[in-house]
Amino acid sequence: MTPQPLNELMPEVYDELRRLAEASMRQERAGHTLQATALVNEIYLRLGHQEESKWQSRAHFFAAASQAIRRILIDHARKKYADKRGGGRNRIPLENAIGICDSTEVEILDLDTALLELEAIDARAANVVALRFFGGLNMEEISTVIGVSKRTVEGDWATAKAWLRGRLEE
Amino acid sequence: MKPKQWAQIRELFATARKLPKEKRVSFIESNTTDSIVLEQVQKLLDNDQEDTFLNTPALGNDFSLSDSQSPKKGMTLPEDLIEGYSISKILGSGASGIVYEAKQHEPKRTVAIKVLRAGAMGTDEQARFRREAETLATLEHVNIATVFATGTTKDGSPWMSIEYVNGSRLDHWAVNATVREIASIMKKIGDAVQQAHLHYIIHRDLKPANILVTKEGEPRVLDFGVARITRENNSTIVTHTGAVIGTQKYMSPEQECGSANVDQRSDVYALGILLLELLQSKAPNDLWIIAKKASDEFPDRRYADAGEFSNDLQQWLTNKPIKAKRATLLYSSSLWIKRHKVVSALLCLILISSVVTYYQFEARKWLQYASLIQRAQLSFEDGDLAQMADALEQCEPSHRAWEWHWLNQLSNTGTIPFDTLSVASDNSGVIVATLKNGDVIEAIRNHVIFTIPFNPVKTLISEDCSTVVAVQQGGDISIYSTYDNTIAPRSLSNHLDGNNISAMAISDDGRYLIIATSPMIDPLVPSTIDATSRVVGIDLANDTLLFEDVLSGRVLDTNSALAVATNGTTIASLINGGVAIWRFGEIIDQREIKVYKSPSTVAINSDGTMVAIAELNSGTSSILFLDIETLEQTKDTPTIAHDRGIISVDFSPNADKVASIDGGGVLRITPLNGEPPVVELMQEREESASARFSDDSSRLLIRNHDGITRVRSASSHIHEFQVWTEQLPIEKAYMSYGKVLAYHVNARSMYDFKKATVTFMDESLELFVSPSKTPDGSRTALVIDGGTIRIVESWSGTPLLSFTWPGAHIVGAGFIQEGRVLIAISLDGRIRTWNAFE
Repeated sequence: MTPQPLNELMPEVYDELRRLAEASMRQERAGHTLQATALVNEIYLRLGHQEESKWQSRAHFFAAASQAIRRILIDHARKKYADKRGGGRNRIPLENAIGICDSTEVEILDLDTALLELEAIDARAANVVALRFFGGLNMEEISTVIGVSKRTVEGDWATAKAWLRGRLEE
Repeated sequence: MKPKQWAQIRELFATARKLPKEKRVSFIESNTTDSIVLEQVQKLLDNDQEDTFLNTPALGNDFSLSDSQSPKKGMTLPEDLIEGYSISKILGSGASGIVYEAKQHEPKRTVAIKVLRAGAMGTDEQARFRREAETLATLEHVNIATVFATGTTKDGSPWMSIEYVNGSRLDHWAVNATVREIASIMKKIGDAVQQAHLHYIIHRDLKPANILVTKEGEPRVLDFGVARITRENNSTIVTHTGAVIGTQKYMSPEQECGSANVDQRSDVYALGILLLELLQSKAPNDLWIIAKKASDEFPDRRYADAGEFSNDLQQWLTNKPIKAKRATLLYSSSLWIKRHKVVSALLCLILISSVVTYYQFEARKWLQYASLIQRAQLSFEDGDLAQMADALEQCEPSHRAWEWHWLNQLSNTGTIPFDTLSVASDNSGVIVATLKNGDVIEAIRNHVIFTIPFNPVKTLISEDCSTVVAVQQGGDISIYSTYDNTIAPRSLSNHLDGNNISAMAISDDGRYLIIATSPMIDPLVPSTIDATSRVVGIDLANDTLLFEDVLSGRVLDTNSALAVATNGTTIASLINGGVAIWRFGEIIDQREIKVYKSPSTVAINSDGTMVAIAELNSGTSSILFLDIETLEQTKDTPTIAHDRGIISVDFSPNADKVASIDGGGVLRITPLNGEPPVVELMQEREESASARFSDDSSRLLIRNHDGITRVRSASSHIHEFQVWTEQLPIEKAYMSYGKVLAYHVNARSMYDFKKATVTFMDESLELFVSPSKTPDGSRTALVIDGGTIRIVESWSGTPLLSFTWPGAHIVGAGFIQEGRVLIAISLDGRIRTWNAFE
């Protein structure tokens, strides 16, 4: 199953999440400040409120949620990139705000492009990457969610990682 | 790479990566000869390294979608912050607060607790929050989520505990609801909102996420009054369900611009948008009208409060006529505002600073353009086409807009570029026109409502301006709604082919369409002269074929050869030397009614009981009335005779008068009860005009083929209304919105057609026609008394500028050229422009 991007599934939810992400970045880290955790909570709440039937499966739900996070990050990266190019005044330190600093070696926009290419070749492996990297699920959880063995998920993960690294280094 | 190859690559990679490095190459080579596979597997193996690549999820190691249900570390639970409650879990969170599900100890129940972040508001706001919470706590309405208690946490954050509602969001609920259920639930919501309004509480953030529907189907409105407090600080708040405030869709234009004058009508606006959204495409006409009235961009044109909105829904639910009147507004502008909300909001801010200066800098150029347009118009009136062309030529090309093209067309061909034109019959100033290029415009606002593709060859607009019928090249017939241009046009091609259409007619309310098709007549081909014509009637409300018939005589090539009663029961058509009449659903007669001379036009009264046929008799003509039941001439009807051929006949909607115009420019308004007729010799330019009664039968709309239109009394001579006596002669009189404003020597008075009452007015009372805004919404043009236009600041009403146009009756004014030029249209079709900044 190819996950549909969230912004097509539920544009309103997507917009609200984006606003939330932006708002969270403007807040100081104090008290009830929203961190990435809150963002994920929010996604879960918003998606979880959908009627059961709207989600064809648990996999569908997690895929959509992972895609939502992916889109939010990509949008911010694009904005940042555009600001850099256009000499924008206020750059938003996305990395600091939502803990993306560990992945700075990966240029997120390039990763997104590569992931799109991988989707065309091996949709399941690309989905595993989305669920792991954007959704934060571990291998067991992914295995439960998409209904294949943990070994297969691990195989997908290793293959996808190697493929993506190769693609990104080209 | 083929899928098969990829499968092989994966398989080989999976096995090879577990082998010692030195054995890998031989393993791969022994299993494939495909060079692509070989190369790809090798590449994957090279990149298969244990390091940090992608190891840390994008959002960090701390969270995962899988366990996000429970609050995670980093979120403090105020377990001990509020006494008497145990927090169970987080229902939602946002920048300015968190909503918890909690167990109240005494009495024992589950509640939702909303805690606002202390820093999100100042002490004044906190006080107001508490005050409103206290008021809310006193509100008792079955459809409002009850506020149980309010207080301050130990660390100083205001909180309130609210009834825990277990239900689905309104929009999710509506997916499987019928139209009736939606109307019914919106009525309940309206009642709930009204209850709050009565306590001076405005919700300000009505949206699907704030309205839950319980399993029993009862709506519960949440979060009254919360939006104001938080929005003032420009932060977001989380509602009961975890939604974040900030959905602009439901926000009224005045609220969005940060107006201080937001009142209960902002909630009415949101209710209207909600209703529209829930109904989506399945809305019956009347519900659309209710929703559109509620969500009008102008607060004054909405329902005055949520109660009125509910009442109209109740009317609909009980099959009674609704109050919202369909032709009082043109909805396209509010749609425009909605589509451009973000832009408008931005402009609200920008306009304050730099743009005004820019406009002032540019103003001189626009002033020059405006005066050239003015000169062109005056030249046309003087008949000096050369000077007119000269003035138009001098206009700066980048400034040329609709008004320029209008005049240019006049100057080139002497004809108005309109294909068809209709003026809303309640004289609300709405004029819908179709242009030859396919644009359907609201003429006064110079606003393109939509564009008909593929160069329509024929268009027709219903009398109430609601419906446009377009026949496109190739024969497709499409029905468009001017009230909601998001409704896709309906194609009638399954009913008939639009080629060879010889006449079309539509009932005044836009519901019934009748189309006649006749082959083109070629005098050299006798068979075409005697060819049969096909006539079909279609009920546009449910897209059904009313009837279909074939006539042996050909149908006259003019739309006035066809007529449809407003209730759709009767359809009449001229045929050679006679008239064919159909009744709804069945043909009662198709016989030719023998008339002495050629019939020239037909009309039907609104209940479909009587048909008027104008017949020509050696230069003179008269009107024959037929009783539909008997198809015999009626006995008690007056004789209406004209010296020239009759070109237009119309029954008044209340069926007590007939208006007829002949080719010599004589208008006759003949009461059917035998009272003497009113006869008027019209101006030369009104030759070949048609006359139509207004909805209330009190006025006549007279327009010539150029689209020049005027309104006159249907019962007396022009500007001499019977309601005023000789003791108080009228200097001047204007009509708008169903009212007549009369100027006397020392006084003004107003006659209301509907109430039939005269009111004497003091000078401060003003009658506005068609308020119109600049594209950024900052300034509004109001037509006052038909002779003056005032530009005011939209949200405060502060007068900025005033313009007068002596001798004109201004039926509408609007801004063109992005708000730099003010344009007005007079009833007689003249237009005039002013620099909108000086």
